[in-house]
Amino acid sequence: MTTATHGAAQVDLSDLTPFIEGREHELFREIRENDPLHWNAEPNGGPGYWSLTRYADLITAIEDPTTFVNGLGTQIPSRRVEGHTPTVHNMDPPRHTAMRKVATPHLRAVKIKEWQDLIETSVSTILDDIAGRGEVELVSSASALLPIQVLGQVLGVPAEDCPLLANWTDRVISDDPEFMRGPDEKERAREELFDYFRGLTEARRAEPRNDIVSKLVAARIEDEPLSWEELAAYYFVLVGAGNETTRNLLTGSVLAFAEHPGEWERLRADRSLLRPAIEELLRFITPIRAMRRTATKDVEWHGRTVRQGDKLVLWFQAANRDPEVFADPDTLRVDRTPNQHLGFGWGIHTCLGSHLARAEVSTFLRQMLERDLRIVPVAEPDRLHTNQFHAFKRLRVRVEQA
Amino acid sequence: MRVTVDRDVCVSHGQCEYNDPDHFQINDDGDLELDENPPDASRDSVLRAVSACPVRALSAES
Ligand code: HEM
Ligand code: HEM
Ligand code: SF4
Repeated sequence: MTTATHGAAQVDLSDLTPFIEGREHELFREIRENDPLHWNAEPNGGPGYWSLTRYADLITAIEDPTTFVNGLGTQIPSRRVEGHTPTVHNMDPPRHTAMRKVATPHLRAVKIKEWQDLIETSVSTILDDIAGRGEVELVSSASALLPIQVLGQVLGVPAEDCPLLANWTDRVISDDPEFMRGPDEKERAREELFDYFRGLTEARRAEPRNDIVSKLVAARIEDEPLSWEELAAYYFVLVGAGNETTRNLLTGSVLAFAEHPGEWERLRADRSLLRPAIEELLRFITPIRAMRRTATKDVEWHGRTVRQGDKLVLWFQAANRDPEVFADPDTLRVDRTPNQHLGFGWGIHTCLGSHLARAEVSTFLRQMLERDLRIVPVAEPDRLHTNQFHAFKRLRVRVEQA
Repeated sequence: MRVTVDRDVCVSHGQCEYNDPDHFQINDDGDLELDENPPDASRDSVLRAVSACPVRALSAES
């Protein structure tokens, strides 16, 4: 039995304070070095959970999706919000494989080129606006707008309804008291979102267009169409996963370049670095810090036993700074290659929207370079109160013409 | 060089396509189409594509 050093065993990853203050990497370093299979008690009487923080260990767990399943929940707390129908994310093979295949052709790298004009227009409108205003709050005036505008239209939501989408997702996915007007707030937001999509589904069933709602409505798995519940769950996961993550990569990028100004200069000098830079930002920021799995049998690991039914948390953010894999991991290097980061996860649940997210963020940065704009934080960011997502509520910035 | 895909493993992530769209493409049915005999000149991008596959469905030999 390996015993963790005293300090490492005491690390509590359910305490949100270090995450809110941006000190999480000290904790990750401590347990990655000294307590690779870390037990964490849970507040509010939860059963507790194991944490993995080493890159190689995450790969091992992820590549064994029959032992460590998604179907029993992917949030650290033991609960579900999406109703009783599993989403593609809370599902295991073989159904998972078939469900993914329904959407992948429409979100593939080459297909995204069809959305490129839309992304370009969205970015240039946003940059025109913030460049004209000088000092702005970045999340509400840029980071949150781009993903919702793009995702809305990829799904088939008319542009004028996109602000509604943003409001529902804020309320459904956030535990932050700021968005919680009452105990049933999440439920209400979810109902509103589903009602809206019920209408859109019927419209596209009657008259299909080139959007994801039309494709999902027309899809057949073993000759059966998806039920309304399955469609609703699919929309829900696309909206949640597509929105919150990309906006945080944008805000996080501004902060990362503020911390490493020389790297922005390198990009200015050589735009071919944009491609590796996006991967590096995904590694460095890791918008999804962690996802959970559940063990389906007892597993001996690092001298301990993970019992059947135990929760196991994959800390992508810690693995992305593992010095065994990434030299000088706390430094942003826009030309880092190879860079097989876990920012989009790994294995069968790898991000379904990775190509769309890359296109959005690289268009944003490229247009900034073309205009020679600089976005400089003027205050500390206000972080969302969660340990599972690296998310920013607000960041005041000054937009400067270089 | 020769590249093969294990069809039972490939789940159409298209991370290979992202790294080397000339030799890997997901078609409209969601299936991967690949050039099984890419030219040696493309070796770097082909190998990048192979190692980016998150489910290790691809293998390459020279
Ligand atoms: C920064 C991004 C994200 C944030 C802040 C976020 C936040 C949340 C929160 C707080 C919940 C739980 C609400 C509750 O239980 O009361 C939730 C649920 C959920 N989220 Fe997200 N989410 C994000 C991204 C994603 C992504 C990328 C996925 C899918 C890949 C996803 C899939 C889900 C699912 C499936 C649930 C239902 C929980 C369950 O039944 O286990 N979310 N999200
Ligand atoms: C920078 C932006 C994004 C990041 C960092 C990100 C990250 C991730 C990660 C880490 C996972 C794996 C979760 C796990 O292993 O449990 C995931 C899954 C997923 N993402 Fe993303 N994501 C982003 C953008 C998007 C977008 C734009 C979409 C939608 C268009 C999307 C849709 C999904 C879906 C549906 C899944 C679940 C896939 C499955 O379980 O099979 N994501 N994402
Ligand atoms: S990256 Fe792997 S899973 Fe994805 S399409 Fe290519 S071979 Fe298939």
